[in-house]
Amino acid sequence: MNPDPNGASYPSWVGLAKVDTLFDYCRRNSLWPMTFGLACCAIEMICTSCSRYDIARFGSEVFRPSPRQSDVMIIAGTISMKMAPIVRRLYDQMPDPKWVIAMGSCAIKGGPYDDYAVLQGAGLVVPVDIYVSGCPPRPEALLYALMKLQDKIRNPEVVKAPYGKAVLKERPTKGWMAKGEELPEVVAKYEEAGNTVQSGQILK
Amino acid sequence: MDFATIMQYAGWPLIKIVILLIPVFTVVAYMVWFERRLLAFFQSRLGPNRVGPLGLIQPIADGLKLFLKEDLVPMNSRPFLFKIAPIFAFFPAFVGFAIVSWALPWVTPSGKVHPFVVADVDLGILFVLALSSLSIFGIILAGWSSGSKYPLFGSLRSASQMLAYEVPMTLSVVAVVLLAGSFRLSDIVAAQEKLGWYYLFPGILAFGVYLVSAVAESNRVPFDLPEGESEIIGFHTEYSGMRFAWYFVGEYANVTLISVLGTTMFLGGYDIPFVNDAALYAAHPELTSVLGVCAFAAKAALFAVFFIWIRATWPRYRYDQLLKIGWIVLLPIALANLVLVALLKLWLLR
Repeated sequence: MNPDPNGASYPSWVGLAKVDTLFDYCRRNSLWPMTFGLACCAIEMICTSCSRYDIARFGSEVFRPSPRQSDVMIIAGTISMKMAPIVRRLYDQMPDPKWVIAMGSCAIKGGPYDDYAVLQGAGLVVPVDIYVSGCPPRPEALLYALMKLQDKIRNPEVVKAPYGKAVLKERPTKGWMAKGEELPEVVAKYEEAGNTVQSGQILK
Repeated sequence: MDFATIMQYAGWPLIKIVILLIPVFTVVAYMVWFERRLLAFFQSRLGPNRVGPLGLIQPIADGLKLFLKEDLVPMNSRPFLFKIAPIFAFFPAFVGFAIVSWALPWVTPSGKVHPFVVADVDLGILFVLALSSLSIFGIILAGWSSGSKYPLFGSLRSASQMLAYEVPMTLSVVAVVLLAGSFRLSDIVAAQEKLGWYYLFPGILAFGVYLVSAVAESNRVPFDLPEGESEIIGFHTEYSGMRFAWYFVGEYANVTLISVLGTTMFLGGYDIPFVNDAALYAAHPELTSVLGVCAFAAKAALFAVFFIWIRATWPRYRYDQLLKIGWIVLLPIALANLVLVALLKLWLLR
């Protein structure tokens, strides 16, 4: 019999989980982006869905042409002042739950265009979940952003914690650590678990 | 009314429907997965492979996600029509499976015959054709009720496309009916078995016409003008979440139904190739039924692969080309084929 925080008891073969876990699993594994490219970053977005990078592996190759059927809006490119209200409108037309990825310097903060005609960042019109840096970002960067968005849907707390820590709690890294993860407390956690860490590589 | 009567007219059909619908739903859901994987392989990609082994959980994830999405009804729409339209697209495709004969009937030791079919209608093939014309209502209603111009264009295109392709499709089916001498699907299979040739060979022209117009009927590439993702988005522009999923599922159910019907009419249905079915049936009736269903599934899978193959390779037709193919190419071929088949039947296959 497993003890239950509420005082109830149930046999050991019963596992309990929140139904949200299942819902989040489905949501994060079927993120359909909107067919929506504003500038040159869109070329990299197209490239991400083609054979070398293949966004389809994550179930996200279903680029929907209508905002009504899409889950994630990838703002790929420069948002001109004329386009800004349309971006907002498309965002409003998407059904909940919805997410936004701002791709490239222009979508992050206007990029090189610090002038009257360009919106200084997508964050001014829509709530952005993930920023992808680069001019333009490489397809790998967009895929990484998609994975980060999946992490965020799985556990929204990751955005509050310092980089690397919360992710590690959810999904321990095997083999090599990312650059930012070489924090002393993270390394200590691995050493506690019986591994040794040598310049980023996790050894048995 | 006693219990036996109720069971005969309501109980057993309902049980049969449930037994049929579970595999049909599964097949339709996994058609989506299959298409995405296969399209990816055609384009030297991998396709969905992260969600579950080989990406097999992908359709479940997609379905549940769509189910949980917000259900938007646009302000300009006619809410009642907008809400019932997806049902018209979804339900005829599934009803069509009721008349399909899946295997040789199973005779119990006590001599009772259990046919592997929900309703063995003697006008079966006409019933399916009528239903497939009904499914166009789903698209037209969606277009009219959305209160938006792109769905309207999509539904108008769909209406004229349906008119242009329903006629050659029916004529190609008529050729098969002429050869078999019956509208009933199990009779068509039995006639092919008796002849020793699948109707693919005497009815090769009808087969070609059927293939082309079947693709057009299910609004798939290269005839996907009602959807036309890159230009008008399609009749389901305003649909979100589960209502969109009805259209999605309906399309794949249509593809499955058309594959199944094409298999029955042209590839011998549940007839096991290179085997004398009657002899095998006399020896092992259960084995024949099971092998028959497997043969049926394999043949239908060939059709499905063909549809996906077309989608991976062909660009979309222009609108005038689409109508030209329907009225100027397919219709004369289907008519000429009808005469040919009639002569063939008169002289050779009597």
